[in-house]
Amino acid sequence: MERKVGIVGYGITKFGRRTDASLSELSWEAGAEAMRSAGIEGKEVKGLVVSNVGMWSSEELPAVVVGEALGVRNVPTLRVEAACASGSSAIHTAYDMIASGRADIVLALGVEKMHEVDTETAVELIGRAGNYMWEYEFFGLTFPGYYALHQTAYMKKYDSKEEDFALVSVKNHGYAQYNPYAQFRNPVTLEEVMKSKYVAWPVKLLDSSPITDGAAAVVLASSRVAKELTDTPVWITGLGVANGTSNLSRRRSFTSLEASVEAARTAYASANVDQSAPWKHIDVATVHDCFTVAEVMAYEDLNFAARGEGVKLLREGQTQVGGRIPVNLDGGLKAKGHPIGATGVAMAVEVSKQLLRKAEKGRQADIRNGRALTHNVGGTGHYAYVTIYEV
Amino acid sequence: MSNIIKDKKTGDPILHDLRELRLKYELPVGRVSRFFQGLEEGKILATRCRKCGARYFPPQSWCSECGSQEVEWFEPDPHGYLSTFTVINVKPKSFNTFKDYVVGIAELPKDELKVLAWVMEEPSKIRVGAKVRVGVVKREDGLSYGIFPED
Repeated sequence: MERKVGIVGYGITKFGRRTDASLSELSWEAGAEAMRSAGIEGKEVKGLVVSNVGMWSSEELPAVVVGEALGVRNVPTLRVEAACASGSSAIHTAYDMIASGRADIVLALGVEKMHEVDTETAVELIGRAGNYMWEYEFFGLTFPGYYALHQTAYMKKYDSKEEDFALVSVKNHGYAQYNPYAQFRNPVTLEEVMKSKYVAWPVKLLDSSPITDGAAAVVLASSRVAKELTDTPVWITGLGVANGTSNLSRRRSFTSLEASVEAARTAYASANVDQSAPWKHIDVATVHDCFTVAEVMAYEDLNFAARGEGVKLLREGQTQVGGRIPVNLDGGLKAKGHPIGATGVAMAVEVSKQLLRKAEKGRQADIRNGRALTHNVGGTGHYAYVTIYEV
Repeated sequence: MSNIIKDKKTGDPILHDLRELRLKYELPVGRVSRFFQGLEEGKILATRCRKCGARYFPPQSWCSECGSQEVEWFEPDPHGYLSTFTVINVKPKSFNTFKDYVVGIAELPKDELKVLAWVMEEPSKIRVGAKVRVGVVKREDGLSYGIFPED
């Protein structure tokens, strides 16, 4: 039988244009904080999983850079990649190392240093994250372009408007002002979002997550060790993962990400969460809002709303504090920032803070069930990770 | 060191890399070379599994469904409708010499295939659900394929 696994410490850096720090220095900021909060030293870490997509940064072997920075030596060490869901893949891999009995304490650390190249090069490299030859080489798709294809289809199918999606940006920027780690702490108005320029019609600049540097880390431990280290472990009780085709032309739907649906189904089943009304069991969620349409699709793929009703859920304020299920109270990828490989780990940090009632004033959810969800998508439904945490 | 510069936005000191890497891949296309011959003949070709009938676009030389390597080339009915589209306004570095281009996905219902390509039409005239056909396009960077409006 699998062993129980919990988070016993976490750390996160300020997100943004972090030209003041190298990949190694960002990793140290987040990793040292995580180990300090767990009450452990580097030599007690028995496994190191680093999520980093790289390409835009110079270090080719980030996992060993992180090990050296944190004094973690002679343990199983690897780097994992699942595009924008790399961080969740690090946590799931660390979970497996502990659940299988191979280690008692594992550090999962996500880091991304995207400002080592210019914006045009970053746009190029992210755009290649699909099928390279058939969809990039010939047709130059960009990351916002992939999601724009979904927004166009969604707008047509459900007769929704650009303004509907802009509300995601307004909500998430609204919460980011209370998050000291967020890249953008400025609230934005609907008008400002609507006036921002198109990056891939109908997706506008203020529908889009930014290019971000940052790191986040969690210390995971077996139940025996977790109970020795802390009175308040955050347990991982549900895991679901799925993949999609690399070619978008081989997808069945452009109004949903099938991988998200499958990952949610598996995660709900493993955590005994009601598949048809999961919000009854979950107090707070982070969903993958790399673009505003992605958050709306996530509401439906995760069954927070019926098909075509994601926009209504948003408009009614049901995904704010006090609503059916508060979503992205840290500002989301949109405003907190999206350091690709760190995002999934940052989501775990955020839900840990929420469940332990340690979120900053103005953005704390009501914790009744003691259960939270993270939804982390890689690419455009190329990977999807759903994880359920409990206290 | 003279190669320490200041970041344009933050003013932080940055070591401006002395080493430069130019990256250009060489992609093997031998197993789908019939596709590129097809473009020369004015055809968009796909592949079909001889054993289970699964159809593939982009074309591939094996069957992911049943594992067979017996696949054949065929020309799908190029007529269909537009599932979705976008206009790429902010372009990647290697596409920055192009004007804004439209990427769409055409659904070809007869053969149950979808094709992602540039839509060869002004964005203001494009509608989701419109009738389209897929066809060969001569682009300044070589022979390719695209999605064309149909009356």
